[in-house]
Amino acid sequence: MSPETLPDLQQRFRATVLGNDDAPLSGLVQTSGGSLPARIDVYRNTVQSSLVDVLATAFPVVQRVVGEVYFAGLARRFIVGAPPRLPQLSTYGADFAAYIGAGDIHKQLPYLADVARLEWARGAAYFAADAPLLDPATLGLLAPEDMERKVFSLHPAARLIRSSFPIYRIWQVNQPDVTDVPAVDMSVGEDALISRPRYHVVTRAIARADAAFVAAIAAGGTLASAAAQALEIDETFDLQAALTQHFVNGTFAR
Amino acid sequence: MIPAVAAIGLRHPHLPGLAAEPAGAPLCAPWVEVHSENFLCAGGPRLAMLDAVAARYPLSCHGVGLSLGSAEGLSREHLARLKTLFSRVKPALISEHLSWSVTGGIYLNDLLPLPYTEETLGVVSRNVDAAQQAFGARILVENPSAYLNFPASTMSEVAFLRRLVKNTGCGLLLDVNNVYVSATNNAFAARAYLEDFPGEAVGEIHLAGHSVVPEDGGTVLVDTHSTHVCGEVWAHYESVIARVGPRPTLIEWDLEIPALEVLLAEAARAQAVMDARAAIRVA
Amino acid sequence: MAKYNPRMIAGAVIGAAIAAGATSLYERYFGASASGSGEDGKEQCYGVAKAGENGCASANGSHTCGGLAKVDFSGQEWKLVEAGTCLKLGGKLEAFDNASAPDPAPAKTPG
Repeated sequence: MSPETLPDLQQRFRATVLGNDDAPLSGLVQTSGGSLPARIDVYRNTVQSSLVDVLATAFPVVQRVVGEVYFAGLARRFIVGAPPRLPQLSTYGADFAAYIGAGDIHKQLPYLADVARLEWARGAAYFAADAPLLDPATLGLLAPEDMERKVFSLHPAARLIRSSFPIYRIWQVNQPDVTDVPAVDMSVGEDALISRPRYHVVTRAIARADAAFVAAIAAGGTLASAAAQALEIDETFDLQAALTQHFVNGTFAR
Repeated sequence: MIPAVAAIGLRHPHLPGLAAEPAGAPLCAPWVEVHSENFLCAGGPRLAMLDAVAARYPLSCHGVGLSLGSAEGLSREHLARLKTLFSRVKPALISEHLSWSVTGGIYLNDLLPLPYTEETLGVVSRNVDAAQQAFGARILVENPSAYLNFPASTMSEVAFLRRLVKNTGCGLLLDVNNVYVSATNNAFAARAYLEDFPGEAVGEIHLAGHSVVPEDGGTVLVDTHSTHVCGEVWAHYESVIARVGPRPTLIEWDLEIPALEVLLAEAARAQAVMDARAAIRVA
Repeated sequence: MAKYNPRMIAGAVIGAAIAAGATSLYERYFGASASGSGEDGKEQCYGVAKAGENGCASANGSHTCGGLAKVDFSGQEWKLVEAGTCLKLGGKLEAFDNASAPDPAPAKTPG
């Protein structure tokens, strides 16, 4: 029985394609004509640039904010430090926002990590489990006393992203159809709610009081207690108007 | 059952269109193939669209992330997720690659090459066994495209695949473009490779385009699936069909994906090759 | 402090249910068939539809033979191209501080 060499070869291949040095594969690979460094580069390029593309597709606004080339450098540093652990690229990039938030770029663009969280939430909503939406018509059958004790559950696709920056506005003005990006007042915080009524991902800014309401519902609170928390933030909170939008946009599951 | 006719790889730009076809409408292709790993999500539109397609079209699930060549063995979790998908959409064919992409639990998003040794044969045979056991189905294993080779190899790719079939009972997916790309890049004869290939094990054929990229003092063929099938690959395909008879044949196009009509025209050309050969046999 | 009483909550829920039922959006989301209501063109162009795709093709690095693999890791090259919209939004961007992030192997000289 010959000794096992494949585990070592595969570790060396990994180090080579995630790094910039061909030395780990020295003597183990060859070409029959052609440039060996160029051939190794084909693999390196596919591994790295395909993952940069995966992140660029998941974080198009982050890419637009910092520019394509800076993004490529940022993404490659992330990829090399935290390559995928699942062969399922719809899950790759879950930690990218935290990486941005912990890096040097956070001091320069402190809103960027929250924008990345918003974009990741949109992708996660797209791939989230299906669940029947709350059918508001059935609520009319409840007695008023039961209504206030009613506990809603968030739809699996629903995600609340709260920020001290205007993340919805930043996201909105960096969509592809906006050619002339305006200045944005960075002193205004915004909360964004992502949901997926049927198969369409909806991204919208919601009022601070409404965000408190959704957060309370997500934490398992009753309708009455969630409404009370919203009123603490803003005593003009309009429960009916907020619920109308939640019903329309599929915030709650049955 | 996938019929021995030509079809197309179904990628994201064309998924909504096929999914939205009315129930009684004629099929735009006799069958379709998708990449399994793109449908392992919990729910949402992508999976719903695949459900709609699978309800009308015979489906082939082509894996790109199982890593049959991983020395550390297959991920149980990944096998289970694939099994769940297959139970849901009931593919008539399941295939993967003779390559690896996982080491130390890290997924490198590429189909990386293997040295063809007794050790590798043992690893791949164990992994193919594990996959076939988990899926409760025979799988097809595809020959990879390669840009380099290994001095440690002790047998040819064809010899390796033949022994893999014998060890595991798996079938083979013959990618004619991959043979051409590997042969050109590694200076062996594509024709001899194809004549030696075990035709009786071939359950599917892939055709795709590649890019010709300059390198120091020459060119390298890169398997980009970004263009038409080249003339040399068509000629090799005709020889293969003449030798082994008609097989389910798939047009793969993954980058710079064109309009559906372009893909279907490419598939029609492959079908014409099979039809011409059938006419000769009848006459 | 303002507080909703049970009757007000019930009224708000029923009012919202009626309002939601009256909107055309509601029809669109609850009424369309599964196969017909896939992502629309806007969603695709906003990137979600093709998010996280696995594939089996090699990347095309034809422009530089190594493509992105040769982009300078230190992030200097972006300055020569374009800096994104952050300048317009209000903000600035400097080259990477090499001390601040996990650093891979040093960049090879582009060849």
